[in-house]
Amino acid sequence: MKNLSEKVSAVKDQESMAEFILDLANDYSKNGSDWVNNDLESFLFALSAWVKDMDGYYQNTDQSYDENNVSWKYFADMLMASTMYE
Amino acid sequence: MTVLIAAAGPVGGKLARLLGDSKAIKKICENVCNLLEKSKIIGSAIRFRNPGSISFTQSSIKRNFSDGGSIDDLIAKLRSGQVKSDALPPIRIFRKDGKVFSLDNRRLYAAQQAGVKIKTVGATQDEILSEAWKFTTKNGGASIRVRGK
Repeated sequence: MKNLSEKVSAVKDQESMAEFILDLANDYSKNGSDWVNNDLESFLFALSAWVKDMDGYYQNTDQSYDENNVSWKYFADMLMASTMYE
Repeated sequence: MTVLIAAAGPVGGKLARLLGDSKAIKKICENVCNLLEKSKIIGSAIRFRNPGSISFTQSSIKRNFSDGGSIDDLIAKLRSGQVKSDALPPIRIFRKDGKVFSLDNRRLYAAQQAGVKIKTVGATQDEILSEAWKFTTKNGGASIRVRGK
């Protein structure tokens, strides 16, 4: 998971997004039991919840957030957060 | 040697009396852990804290745990004493801007609602960084919304 959190920071375009999703899938294969949301249902519920709460994340971590100018990084953050959001 | 043996008698007797009282043992363990943490001898010592003094990282939480149990069930069991808070895994905490935050929001919420102290342990830097996505609170962690209610 530590490597994943570093890799998500590198997501900036279509190619790096695809690489990140592949890394995420590989992590699930190896460490899926460690994910808080390790089945599709709980993953999707967490995804929905995090998207609703995500502006707080960017505010608390001093990152800019513009809901009208969505980037690849936002999507990577959504997927990453959904693995662990309680 | 004679002095030591003489001293060991009353001390040993006191310990024996204390060991017969599980509440006393628990209190001693709490005090020792708290002292170790305060003295920085053990940075990650497990310590019992008032859950009201700990802030949430998340804006909202799901109402179930991974094992299928619900937060409401846990609150009821903590209130009735069917589950002791010291039987729960410690919640991982860290300091930010003068506040103590928890990475484990559901157990913190349950302890707050049940009004019981909770075991805490210092979160590692790796845990704080790798779980930073949980930090969505918009009210400084003062309260949290349970989803699905």
